[in-house]
Amino acid sequence: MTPPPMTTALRDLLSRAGVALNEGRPAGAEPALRHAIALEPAAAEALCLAGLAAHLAGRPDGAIRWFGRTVRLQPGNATAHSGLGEEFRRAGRLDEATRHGRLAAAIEPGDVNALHNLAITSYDRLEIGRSVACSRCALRLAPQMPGPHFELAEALLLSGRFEEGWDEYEWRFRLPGAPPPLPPHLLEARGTAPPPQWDGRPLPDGGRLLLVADQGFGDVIQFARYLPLVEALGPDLIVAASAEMVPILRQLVDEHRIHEDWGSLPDFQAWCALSGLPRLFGTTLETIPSATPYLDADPELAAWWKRRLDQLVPRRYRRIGLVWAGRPTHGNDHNRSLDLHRLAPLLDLDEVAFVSLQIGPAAMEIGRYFGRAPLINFGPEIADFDDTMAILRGLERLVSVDTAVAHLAGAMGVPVSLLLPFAPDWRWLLEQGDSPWYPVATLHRQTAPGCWDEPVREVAARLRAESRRRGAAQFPP
Amino acid sequence: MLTNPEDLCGCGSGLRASRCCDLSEVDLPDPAPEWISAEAERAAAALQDGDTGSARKACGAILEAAPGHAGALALLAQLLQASGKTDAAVVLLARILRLTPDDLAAVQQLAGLLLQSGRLPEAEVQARNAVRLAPDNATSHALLAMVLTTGHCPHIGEFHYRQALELAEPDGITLANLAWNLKLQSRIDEARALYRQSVVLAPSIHLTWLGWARTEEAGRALEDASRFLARGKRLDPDRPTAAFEAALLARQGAPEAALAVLDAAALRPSGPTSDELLEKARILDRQGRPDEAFAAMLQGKALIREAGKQYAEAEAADLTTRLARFFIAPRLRRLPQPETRPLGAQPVFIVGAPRSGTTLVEQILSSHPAIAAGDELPVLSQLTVALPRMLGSPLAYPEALSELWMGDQQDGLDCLRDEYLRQARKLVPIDAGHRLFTDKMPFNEMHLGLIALMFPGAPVVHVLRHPLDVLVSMMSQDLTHGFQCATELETAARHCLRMIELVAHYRQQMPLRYLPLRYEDLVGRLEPNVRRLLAFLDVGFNRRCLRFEENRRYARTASYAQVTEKLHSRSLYRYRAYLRHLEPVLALMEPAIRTLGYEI
Repeated sequence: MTPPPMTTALRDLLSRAGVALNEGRPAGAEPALRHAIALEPAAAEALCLAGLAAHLAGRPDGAIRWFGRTVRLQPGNATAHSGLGEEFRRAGRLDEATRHGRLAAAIEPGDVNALHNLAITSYDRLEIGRSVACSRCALRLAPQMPGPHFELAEALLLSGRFEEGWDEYEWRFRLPGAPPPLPPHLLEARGTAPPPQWDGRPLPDGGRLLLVADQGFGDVIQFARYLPLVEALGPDLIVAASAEMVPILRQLVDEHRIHEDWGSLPDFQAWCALSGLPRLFGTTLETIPSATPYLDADPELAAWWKRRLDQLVPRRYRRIGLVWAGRPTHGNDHNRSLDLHRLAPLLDLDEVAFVSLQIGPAAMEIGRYFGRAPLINFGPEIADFDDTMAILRGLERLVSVDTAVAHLAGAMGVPVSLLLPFAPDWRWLLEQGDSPWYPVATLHRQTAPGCWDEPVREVAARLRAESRRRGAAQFPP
Repeated sequence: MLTNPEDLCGCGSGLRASRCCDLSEVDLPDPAPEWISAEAERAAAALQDGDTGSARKACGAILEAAPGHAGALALLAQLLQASGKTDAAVVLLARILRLTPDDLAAVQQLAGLLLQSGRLPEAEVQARNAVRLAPDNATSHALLAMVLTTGHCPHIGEFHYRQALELAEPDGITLANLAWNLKLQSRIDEARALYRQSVVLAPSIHLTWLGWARTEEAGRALEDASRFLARGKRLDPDRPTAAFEAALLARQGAPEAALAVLDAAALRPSGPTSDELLEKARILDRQGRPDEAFAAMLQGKALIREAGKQYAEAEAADLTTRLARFFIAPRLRRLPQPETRPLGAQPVFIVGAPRSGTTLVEQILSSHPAIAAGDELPVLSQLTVALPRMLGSPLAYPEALSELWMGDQQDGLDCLRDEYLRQARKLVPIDAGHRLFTDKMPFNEMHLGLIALMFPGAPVVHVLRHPLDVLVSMMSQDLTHGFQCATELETAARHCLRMIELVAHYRQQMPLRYLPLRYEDLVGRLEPNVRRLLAFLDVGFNRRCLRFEENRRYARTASYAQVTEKLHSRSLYRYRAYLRHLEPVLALMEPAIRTLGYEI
């Protein structure tokens, strides 16, 4: 079907909308688009732009509606198919996402974004081979595009192919919007020959190495295990970290080496992101430094929290920690977090008290929780990770989604049942029920995207079986 | 003397305003004219002769000339009281006491009047004054005893009745009053023995027989209860006893006879009382006649409102808002914890809306040998009143808790907690074997924050029941809880919502030892839920808790008769028969109903 010829008025409106969209102002584009669609309801170009505007304005339903109308009028519109693919992926409708993603890639074989989106969708469907292939195709077209490199890294690391994975993972700082590991002014201030990124080799005598505790809190906790290995290489080590991470890092390096403020950093001869250490140490599945615990709670603080637990938890009750949501601003939060009510089978157990270490907006759900098991809200009293560690010390187990608290329990040797989305973060690898990073962790994976029933049931069954064994041990028949 | 009606004082004394409430005591003319003493004698004589008209006229003349004449004020107060103008009498007595604060007779009369008109806190002030003024006066003690007994402190009331009996020859009325007091403490046998003594001394007092009848009913001796009620009715056939009589008949399995009694009572010129209407509603409800039942509820509640009771909504809303504003996590982090360990039996707080099953839970728990029943303890709300003084704060509760940040109030929570325990132990019959006692004042969830501060480890059992069932049941009872919210369907709904939201807030802001327990679960599966409840309280399972209906304790609340029956499911989801009548609150309640895990 040939599109009807466009009137001048329509062309003007679309060009105005296009300008606004290019400037990232979807609200500025929408009046012109409304007008255009009123003039010519079947103008596929206008409909497609309306889809883009809705997408940029964060209205996925609107985007799906407009893109959908576009492809009905113009089945060969790759942009609309690609947009539909991305929206469906975000909504967890992965079959539809794949269908539209593939159509987009087939219509425009040279569209690197379509390939990249398809790689992400394939990852989300755990079709890792296809994801790797799509990313490689995209990289052949655009070798310097960070997105496909990073997606390739995630897919390779997830499948345990660490060597190539770590190299690709270095692209994480070049992703659009990703903060650089070091503030640029810090290197610029050090003249024409700023300190280089560390290559992993011992520094010349007296050389000072800056490690930057980058990425999320969970990453810092996970990679902090490399600090003693770096120190063993002999450099004069300093660590830049946010204040929240100090309780973690000071257990592995002297506190005077930790700097919370970029301004207070002394001179350094090389630098490296903490998350870059696995690459420098050539970590493979077999050589992951898995000796735990490498973190522990302050004994006095742990005793204080133990008394608090004794006050609040009935004596015979088991004490199980609970975290059901991560930081809501995390890009993947909709995937990894769940609503408290989804844990119903778990919260139906007898003589188990759940101790919530949940913080942030999700903790508000406790006010609406009326399950059988007591749920004790420690969130309001948690001031920092010292408190979190001290509480964990008094618990039998932690049940958690993929958050920093789960890493903390793992690093402390506190048994942790981890609830993972269908396509988890790369560090939890594929299929296996345990983790080479944290021997105390048990992994419970979604068996279908977005469906928490199975992993929650597994954890509940495990706790129930443990309770039965205890009961039998306490009251012999 | 002719008085323009527009000049008359608004208090109802019949005096001119300029000689009554508008009068400043410093303006009192002095000395009084000479003719007054003769006029006062005439007034007293007229009253003695039953000529109230002349007495009132004489008092008026005296007070016109000498508005501060204590004798005339006292006489007029007596006349006003006799003619039912209680508020005006209270005003005059208070005036006497400003002029002569040590006037024992006026203090006693005022205390009695205030008690009669249900103004308990003021009555208590005056009754305590009476005891201070005359510690060896039996009437003073008897008055204080009555006030305390009515105000949910029967144990302290008992002390003062016994003082009164020591100070004067035992009389039938005081013995009967003490008997009633003991009945409220579930000491039915002792009460019965006292009633026996009382009727020997004074066999013709209607209220004694009625009180005895109620005592026997509480003790499940329904035949005796009927017999004593009949005796009382013979003595004073005009007194409205139909509500009790009907309740008794209904308990004996004769609902039709009960309804006939109520219908007959409704024919009296003044019409049915609110008690009778609500009793009728309950009987009709059990008979499956919801439309008639609800009509009776509405009528009963309207009468209660006509008597001046209504939801103190502004006060409730203000306190709720201030509590939510005060109890927020960052602020609480800076509060000290109690430093010392409390000694002796510790409280278990059973909270929830009235009619949600709090009495049932207490009955179950107090069947356990380690748990004493505290019933509806007024202690927590009394403590919120005393708290600013105890912490030396110029602010009210809850803001007064800010004093806990001061260096010299670091033991403030210990003091508050110990005061709570001190007062509670006066009211709760705690034996050596008791490790815990219950405090089941409905709507105590309002003070969940204070509870958690004073008793960080005290178990809080929140009894949940379908909110619409709660509302139907609240409509069929005369309840004062929750700022008198139960005087109307809509206000009951609004207060229940306020409490549901406040509990959510507390749970979001602080760690609590909190167990939600559904009434429906208890009815559906008693044993596992009783086990869960006891485990939560750290006490071992005891089979007696499953046979709570055998617990001989008498609960003072509206549910006392129900908890002497085995569990039945007839009260589950009763609201379904009332959906049409609940329509005005359905939209309001729906979100909360779903949040609590129920459906409509």
